[in-house]
Amino acid sequence: MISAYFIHLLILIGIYLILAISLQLSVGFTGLLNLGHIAFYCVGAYASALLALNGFPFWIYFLAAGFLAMIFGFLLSIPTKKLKGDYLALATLGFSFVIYAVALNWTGLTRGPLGLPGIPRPTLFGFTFSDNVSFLILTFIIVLISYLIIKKITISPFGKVLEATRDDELATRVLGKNTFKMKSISLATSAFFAGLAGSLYASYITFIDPSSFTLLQLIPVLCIVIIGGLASLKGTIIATIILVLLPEPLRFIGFPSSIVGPARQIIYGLILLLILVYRPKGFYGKVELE
Amino acid sequence: MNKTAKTILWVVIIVIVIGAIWYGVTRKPTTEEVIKIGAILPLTGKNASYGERTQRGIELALEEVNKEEKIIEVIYEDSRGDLKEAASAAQKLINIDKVQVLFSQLSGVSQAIAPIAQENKIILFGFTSTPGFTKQGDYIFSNRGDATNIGKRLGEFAIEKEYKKAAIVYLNNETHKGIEEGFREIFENNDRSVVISELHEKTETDFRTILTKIKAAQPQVILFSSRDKYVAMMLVQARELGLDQQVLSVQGIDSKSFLEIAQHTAEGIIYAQTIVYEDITNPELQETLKEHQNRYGEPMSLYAANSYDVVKLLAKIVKTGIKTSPAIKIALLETRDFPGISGDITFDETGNVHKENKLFTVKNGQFVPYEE
Amino acid sequence: MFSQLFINGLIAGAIYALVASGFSLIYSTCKFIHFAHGAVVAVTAYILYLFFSLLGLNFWLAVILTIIFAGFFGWLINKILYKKLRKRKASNVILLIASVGLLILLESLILLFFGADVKTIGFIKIAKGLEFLGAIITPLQIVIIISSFVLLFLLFFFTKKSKIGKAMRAVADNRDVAEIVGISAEKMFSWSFIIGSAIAGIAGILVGLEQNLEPTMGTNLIIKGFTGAIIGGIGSVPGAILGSFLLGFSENFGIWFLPSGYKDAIAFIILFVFLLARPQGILGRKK
Repeated sequence: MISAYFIHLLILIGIYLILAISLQLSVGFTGLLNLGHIAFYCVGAYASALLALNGFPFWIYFLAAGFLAMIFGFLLSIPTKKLKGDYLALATLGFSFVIYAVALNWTGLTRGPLGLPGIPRPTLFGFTFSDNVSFLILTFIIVLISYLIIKKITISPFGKVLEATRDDELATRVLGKNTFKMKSISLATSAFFAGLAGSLYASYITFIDPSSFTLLQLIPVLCIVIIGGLASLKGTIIATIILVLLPEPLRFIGFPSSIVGPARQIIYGLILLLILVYRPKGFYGKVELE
Repeated sequence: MNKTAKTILWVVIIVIVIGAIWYGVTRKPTTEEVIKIGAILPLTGKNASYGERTQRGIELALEEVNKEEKIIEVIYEDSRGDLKEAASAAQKLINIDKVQVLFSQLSGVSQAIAPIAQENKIILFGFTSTPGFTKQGDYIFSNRGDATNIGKRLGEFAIEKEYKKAAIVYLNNETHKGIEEGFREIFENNDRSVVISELHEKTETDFRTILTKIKAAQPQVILFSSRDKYVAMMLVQARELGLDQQVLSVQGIDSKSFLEIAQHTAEGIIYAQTIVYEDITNPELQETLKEHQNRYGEPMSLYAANSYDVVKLLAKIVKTGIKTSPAIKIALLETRDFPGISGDITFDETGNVHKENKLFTVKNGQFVPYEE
Repeated sequence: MFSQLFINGLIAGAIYALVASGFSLIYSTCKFIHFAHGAVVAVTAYILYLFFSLLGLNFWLAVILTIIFAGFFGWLINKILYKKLRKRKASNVILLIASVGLLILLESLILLFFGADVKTIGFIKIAKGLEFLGAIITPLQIVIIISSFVLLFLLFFFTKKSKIGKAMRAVADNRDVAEIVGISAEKMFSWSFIIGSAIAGIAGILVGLEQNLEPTMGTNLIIKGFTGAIIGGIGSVPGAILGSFLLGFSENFGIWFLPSGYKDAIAFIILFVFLLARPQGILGRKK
């Protein structure tokens, strides 16, 4: 039954892939230092879980998760449209703190730190994805569709304008493009897919609480984007596989029981720092951010 | 693929392979006699001190049960309080290590693992007081009992003492919310009032304004329902602010750090819990309590007692030749009054226990049973 | 009750300010978010515990050694990690991720060496606080408030008057121009880490005495310090201190009227309002 463990890891890789390639769209292709991605993931997970618990069918709560996250992405893009670089990073990070605080404190809706248990597995055309093999297939299909859509966006003329905005916003505006609108659409689309990933996560684990949506949870996703290389979807896929699997071999090292926790964390932290120090532009990094 | 990416990918693959080989070599050949338990505890992060205590209980019990021959092996995994991490750990423990029993701590993590354990027909002992936790499946057990009973016991005590107005501060989680509800139910049904009830989060260290609100509400008794360090900090800050009411508290505060933080303000606090201290008649358990005190410099906490009792109970079952999860489940449900440090264990049909809560206090820097 | 709430807000604000000022000093020169600053605060608190409670040194000697250690530790972090990253032209996001990685690493190291249990320094004896205009405050809390005010003035004069301070501002304003006139930017980055971390050392000592020690204490502190720093204007040290006090007051007056569970929500809503309305903060300059 080794395969069951790998199926679980593959599902996690799938969820992270959607998160990472969608973050790549706003950070890598548009140059927006978006640290609010985990908040969209959170919105998607809660929207999906609450609708699912109230008996809505899968396709409704799955898409609702995406669209609600998209609305949040669009709303966030309005006040932050003029912010650049660090200030945008701080504003979006602040936004994710606010969403976390809402998830924690709006107990009437989210039950706060008590979390939402018993989220049902998806059901489509009378078939329930209750075992992990079928859930993996579902995840794989969603990852594939997400990948194709994002790939399509990045090679379309619109995608080229996004990259032009990233490289020289002023010049792009001189050419008559509404860069604020472009950035808005990019952030909203990116948020949409984060919402979908949130919905998948909630239906897979079947329990969510606010602790899954903190800054510490954003770091692995950001790492994937950076290590894969900005604006490189191929790099993102490789980096996702490496970063999700990285902690797993550590489970098999026989540390004495009294230090097993911190020892694994220390090794994991060290490996991350080493990759960053020796490969700060990632595997396929083509572009740099200010 | 460029060169560095390739190198890193190869390094990761090599690490995985070496790890797997190392694991295969170092793993002791599993004899038929040994059953494996996977313990998913918060060993790092802000709940690490509680995971550490649960681990101490397991280690003490293992030393005793494996003295003659090794019958139980425990494999630890760190959940860091993270649901994904805990789910990965559970999958690995069930599918690769082939454990028959899982332990989990923290309510969120336990909730995330419960469906996995149930689906694989692996027993899960959740060290959590989440109401209704064990009703999620026939393989889901707990030996903590329901938190509301602790609140009720404290409520009865407050009524005996003729207190009319009470204030409560509780930690925002399932256990302490349950305690708050239990206390409130008993207290308010007897024509008394809870004049103020406030919650706090796990990140809190500054309780001054909460306590200022309590001071303004002028209660006669205050219930701090939280974990050891928070109760200690609340006590200190309350006394500094000149609140001198009787303070009630709950299970799990009896630690070294509680006494270190609270110093003399700990004196006279009254708390309810199921642990059996001095009136314990079983000499073997008496030895364990002493051993824990000597080794770790503090009395055995609820966390350690819970895990200790479960390992001892499982060892007793395994010794009769029962080794698989479904058979252990039946044996667990048949258990009657198994003597434990955290109270005798008899499971109801859902897999939960009902233990008697007793009152304790702090006298001259020692945790002792409360006497009138 | 107003005076008690005012004092409560002042104490909370002073603690946030102690963390925020060093963080903001490093940000203003180096221009990246050094989240591991929280872990530096935690490490120094544990170093004081080591010197005073475990090795039994004289308290004041232990305090001085701890502050020196903190400055050295900051210098070391910059040299081992951040300088290498800058040399490889790493962007600010990478420095931010590296700082979170460092935070995780340092917290795990504390856990490994000192264990997960809460530790107490045990220098202060608990007693009822002093009455002061109808409010109650302990002597240690008075020291904390005074320290943060003294730091506010010292840092103000340091950046405005001293040679290093001026050079640091020059690097902060325009690194290229500063290098042309002969100021080494890397040297100023080192100095900002030494001074910023020494302030983290003072914060670690005072917070350690007031709230006790835990391996994860740094994360909680830096989130509030970060919030205070942004409200006040992240590139401005006096602004960060002002922002921290504003945060302390709003939280404590806020939960007088609202349930106390909303404390963090209040903090982050203020943060968000500032990000929208005045992203450069109270005293920050618009870029």
